[in-house]
Amino acid sequence: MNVHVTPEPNMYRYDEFDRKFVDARVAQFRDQVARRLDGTITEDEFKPMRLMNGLYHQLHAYMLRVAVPYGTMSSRQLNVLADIADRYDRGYGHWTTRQNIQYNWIRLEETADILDALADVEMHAIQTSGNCIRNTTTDAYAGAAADELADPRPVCELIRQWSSLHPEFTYLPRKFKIAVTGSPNDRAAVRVHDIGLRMHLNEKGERGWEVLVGGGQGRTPMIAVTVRDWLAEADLLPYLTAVMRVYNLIGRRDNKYKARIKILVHEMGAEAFSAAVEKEFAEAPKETIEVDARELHRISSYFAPPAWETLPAFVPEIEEKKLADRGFRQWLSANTAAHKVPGYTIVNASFKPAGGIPGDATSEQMRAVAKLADEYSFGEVRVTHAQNLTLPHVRTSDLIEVWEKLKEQDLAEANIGLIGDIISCPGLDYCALATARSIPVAQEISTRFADIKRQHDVGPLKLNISGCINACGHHHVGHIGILGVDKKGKEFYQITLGGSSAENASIGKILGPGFGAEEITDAVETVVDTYLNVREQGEEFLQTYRRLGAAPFKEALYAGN
Amino acid sequence: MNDVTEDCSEYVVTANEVLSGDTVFRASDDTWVRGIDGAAVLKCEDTGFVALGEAQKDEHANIVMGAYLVEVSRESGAVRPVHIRERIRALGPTVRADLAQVAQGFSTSEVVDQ
Ligand code: SF4
Repeated sequence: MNVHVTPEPNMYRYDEFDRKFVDARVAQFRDQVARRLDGTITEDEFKPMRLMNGLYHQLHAYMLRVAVPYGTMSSRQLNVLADIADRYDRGYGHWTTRQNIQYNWIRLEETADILDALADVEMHAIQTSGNCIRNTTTDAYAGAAADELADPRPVCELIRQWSSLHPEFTYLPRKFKIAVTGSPNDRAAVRVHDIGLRMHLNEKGERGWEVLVGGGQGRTPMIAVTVRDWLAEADLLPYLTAVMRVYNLIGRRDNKYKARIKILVHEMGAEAFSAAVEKEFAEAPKETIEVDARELHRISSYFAPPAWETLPAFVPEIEEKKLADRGFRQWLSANTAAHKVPGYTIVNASFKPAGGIPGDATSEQMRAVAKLADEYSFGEVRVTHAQNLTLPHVRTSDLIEVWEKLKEQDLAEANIGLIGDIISCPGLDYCALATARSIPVAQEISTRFADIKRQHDVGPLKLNISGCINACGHHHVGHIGILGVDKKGKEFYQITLGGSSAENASIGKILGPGFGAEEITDAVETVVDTYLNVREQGEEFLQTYRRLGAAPFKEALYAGN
Repeated sequence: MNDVTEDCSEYVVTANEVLSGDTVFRASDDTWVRGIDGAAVLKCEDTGFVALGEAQKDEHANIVMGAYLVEVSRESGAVRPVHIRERIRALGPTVRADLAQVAQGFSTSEVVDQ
């Protein structure tokens, strides 16, 4: 008899401490829910407890945000996420820009059961809300990318363990987000995070970290400043602790709009802030460092590379298919990325079909990707911050099969990094804080640009949409950003141009007066057409904008008004 | 006393059910219903606030949470919130007609055509 054994990918596994901690939290929450339902505690008392367990209340229902630590999960975990969607929600979930998943239609009485189901596969919803250190994010291609110096996930896991319910950092002035990249090509947006960590190698080949602090989006977008060019890896946690202590001590608590660390860095000045951190760091006890190094070594062993085979880099069938089939060629060029090992390729499943809801995944699609991961990617899946999934280790010779299977699930739109790959927050269709809808705008734009050839002609272009100034849709760092606002009870949309979350990060600039819901897609098309008219040979949208500024786009959009 | 003769809008009382989190409306028999069509329509804000006061007793009883008044108008005989946020909250996401209250007899365009 053939017994199918699900491969267990190399990723962090709970130890006894982790397991006990998560189980205890579920039991505690079950009790809190029971007390809420029997009236022992009021909503005001219950709210901070549910938020600490990832349970929000949105426009229509409770919403549960489940952490996918640094975006890495196993096929087994993805299958459980699919089961939760079917059993406790309405058959789907939504990938978020923090590499997590949200369920939109959760019942309070069932939440503890969901958390139990998650705990069974070493997942939880802790630290997905509240003024704590949130889920650390990283490059979705970590451990696979041809351009990375080393896998950043052991450091992410170290940070996760250090920050999980850290007694000093559970009630910070505001929420706190950390991103880590092990590649010089930043796919983790480290410069728009409270702390960004960028790996470097010295002449001896030793790893160290550049520490960037004070980036962020929201109503006051800022690019992080480098407070340390080089930090030895062993010093990482003491140094992060020093940053957090300075912030915790002098970060503002009187005004939530000025409470993020970016405001502190800005108000103190980068030099004074750095000096305060260095002083704190110098005074910190160093005996923990050795422990950290040992712990990092222990954690790293979990992330050992999978059992890659020695394979030829050149696969004739793939080359032939590329020549013969334009659809495959387009998919290959947009949706795959170079792997560090010859004969392997990184594959993205696009959750951005033309006219679809960006990042929404049905349970069937989740199971299909989990199956593909089992068959073709060592059982491993990643959530990207652009709301797609990644199969990190696919044999190049399997690409045609994987492409065909993704097509069956409507997950092979050849648009990764192109205008159809829109990042969009849930907006007013789901979110209680929204001022305008964002999903229908995304749907209309992706429908307008549905022609894949046209998208490829336009080239790399990131279009991001947020339904309010909180900027969960990362509009500030979209090459084209769209922000939905409420203007006298009507939805209105502002366009920003020139944003980027890559290594050369920048905040987009507002182009001019906004547009009504019925005008915004035409306006975006005008921006794109203008770029096509003025670009130089081989120039991408962002490069053209940086060369020419806003003038030609303003002229095209507003001349005559 | 307020002079309400000139501008006396209509209101309904809404909240969310604690157990399910669902949007609910206060009916004229003081129960909570899921569809806005079953809501008691209250003339003028003053009347609304009286009804809201009553409804808040159910907050203390942990049946609902966050009760408040929503301004509505009549459209082809149906009661509909005036503001788009409340329309979407009452009728469901405009992007998943299959999951919205739309599935219970509303049309998607109703949610957004103001
Ligand atoms: S940006 Fe605003 S509307 Fe969008 S998810 Fe965040 S809070 Fe909600």
